[in-house]
Amino acid sequence: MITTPLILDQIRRHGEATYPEECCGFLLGTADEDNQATALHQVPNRQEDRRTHRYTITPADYRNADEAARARGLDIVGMYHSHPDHPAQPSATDLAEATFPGYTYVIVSVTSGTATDLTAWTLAPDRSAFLQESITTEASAATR
Amino acid sequence: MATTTEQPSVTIRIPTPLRSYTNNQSIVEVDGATVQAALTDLIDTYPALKPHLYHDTGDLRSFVNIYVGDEDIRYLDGPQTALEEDAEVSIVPSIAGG
Amino acid sequence: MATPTPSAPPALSTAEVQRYGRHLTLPKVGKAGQEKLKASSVLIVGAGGLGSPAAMYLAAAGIGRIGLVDFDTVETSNLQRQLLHGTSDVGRPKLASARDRLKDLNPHVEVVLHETRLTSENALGIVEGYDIVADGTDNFPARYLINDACVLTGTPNAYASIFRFEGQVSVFATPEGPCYRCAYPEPPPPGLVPSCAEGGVLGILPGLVGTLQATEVIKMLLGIGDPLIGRLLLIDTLPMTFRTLKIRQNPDCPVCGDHPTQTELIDYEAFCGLPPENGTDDTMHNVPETTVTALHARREAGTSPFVLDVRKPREAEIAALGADQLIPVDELPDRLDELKATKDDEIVIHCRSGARSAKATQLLLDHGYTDVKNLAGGILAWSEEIDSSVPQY
Repeated sequence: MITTPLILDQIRRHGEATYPEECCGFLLGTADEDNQATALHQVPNRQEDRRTHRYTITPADYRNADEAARARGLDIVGMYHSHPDHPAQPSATDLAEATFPGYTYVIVSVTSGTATDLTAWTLAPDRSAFLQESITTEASAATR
Repeated sequence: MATTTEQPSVTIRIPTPLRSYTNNQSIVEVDGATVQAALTDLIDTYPALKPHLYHDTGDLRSFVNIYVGDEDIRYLDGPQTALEEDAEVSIVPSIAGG
Repeated sequence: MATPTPSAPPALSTAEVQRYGRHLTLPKVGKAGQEKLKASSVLIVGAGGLGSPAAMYLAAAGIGRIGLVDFDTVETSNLQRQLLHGTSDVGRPKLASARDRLKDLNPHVEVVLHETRLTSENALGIVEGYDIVADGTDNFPARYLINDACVLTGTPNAYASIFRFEGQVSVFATPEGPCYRCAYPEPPPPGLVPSCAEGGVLGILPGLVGTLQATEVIKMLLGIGDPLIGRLLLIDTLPMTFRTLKIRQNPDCPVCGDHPTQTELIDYEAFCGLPPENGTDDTMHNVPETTVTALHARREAGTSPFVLDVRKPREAEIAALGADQLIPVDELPDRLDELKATKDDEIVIHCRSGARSAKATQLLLDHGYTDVKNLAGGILAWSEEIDSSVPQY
């Protein structure tokens, strides 16, 4: 995926803010050969319990995010969540709950409250595994 | 697109990654008196969508939610939910992980 | 639009009335003035030394919308003077730490982040969204670009610059006064004025000068006092003198004169005699290079080439990698006869980052030295990859 240093910083800060629970949110931008994320849409972790190990985004949150994206002429191009005290690798749960190939799934590892590794993944077309994506950063337009 | 004259014409909103299977359209027009009929028309028109929405068994994948307007069809009549002319159907993923 | 007069100034909330109490009781500001500030917008170019105090005081003062333009990340050597950023922000984008700091100072302020380098392509579009610009940049192409964009969009430019112990402040590009080009029609020759990194800067200086700059912004927005229009304030902190020079509008100014010849933005790198921004690397690639790893290996093997340091002696006191000789790059043309290496010796040249040494490499090649290589990345790369006890500065 292509994004900006600010977006990556925002994801890390979100993960630190919700530590030791997982954070989650949407990547907004444009979908081309590479997903380009130019904005974030944070959402609350709707998981009832075990928010330190699980995250859930409701359809209502998806619809709000989709509306927010369209209002800015953008699309939902992926999701992000944090792994508190766990590597930035997709877990078995991540794979089991994966949605459509083509979304970029960003995972940030937060160790003892400090964001460390940040990785990006996409679901293989046959849904058998997550494939790692490169992350390219470039400065871009105004963000708020 | 199917052209059954008596079926209402409705729109289906497509999530970003599935647009590569719908000629990059974010909204597809289909015909169908029910959600099931509309989805069938969608899959007939764009067969490559099918494995992303349905299990091999023919059931919708568990993370796939279908909305008519602002309502989840689970709280309406499920796949048999009736559609009126110009109804807006959305494919909405449930997102979760660990 | 020196004093924006919005049709209906936004009312202050109870929380804002409490926050701005000392402004509300201040003659010439008061409730009407505070509402003007809330209705105002300021674009600060550069979230560094000058931008730090300017942005913090303008946010605290209750400017409605503050835009920041920057694309750098926070480095340890910034912290001596760039108070928007803290130790824990090192490595973060400057805009991220700036937003956190400003939002903490005053959550009522809208902070807009322009995560980009200001260019001839985007400057007009960014500048025209604001009532006034505060130029806190550190280089001449940016200053001419900001000036021209301000003149072309009719946006006043509160200008400030710093050098070692001295600073300058003025207000340019107002309808009634001169622009930066009236004061400085021509840029200095490239390389004449060292950057903060090369020349050093007193950490307090941008704090002093940036707050003066912010003061001019506030005065312009409120329409009070006598802004530094047509006056250039010169500050020298060693004798602690403040002098003002009169600057007149130049009727022949190509941008703001009576018959402007330049009505759009140009290539400012070329105007300042510099290679284009994205061509800097090409220039460096045009000279033969070696890496810190290769040099280190040669030294370990006892077959080190002759190493020439082309920085200033003061820089070598801060951090050095044990060069055989030091001749500053700007003295090199006149001191070639002092060079202890012969034209057939293998020479590796280094500076702080690899930019000045690339020039020196070319110079020696031009003078018939046959085996000269630039040390890519200079001291910074050496510190990063070979010996972290060598400080980055």
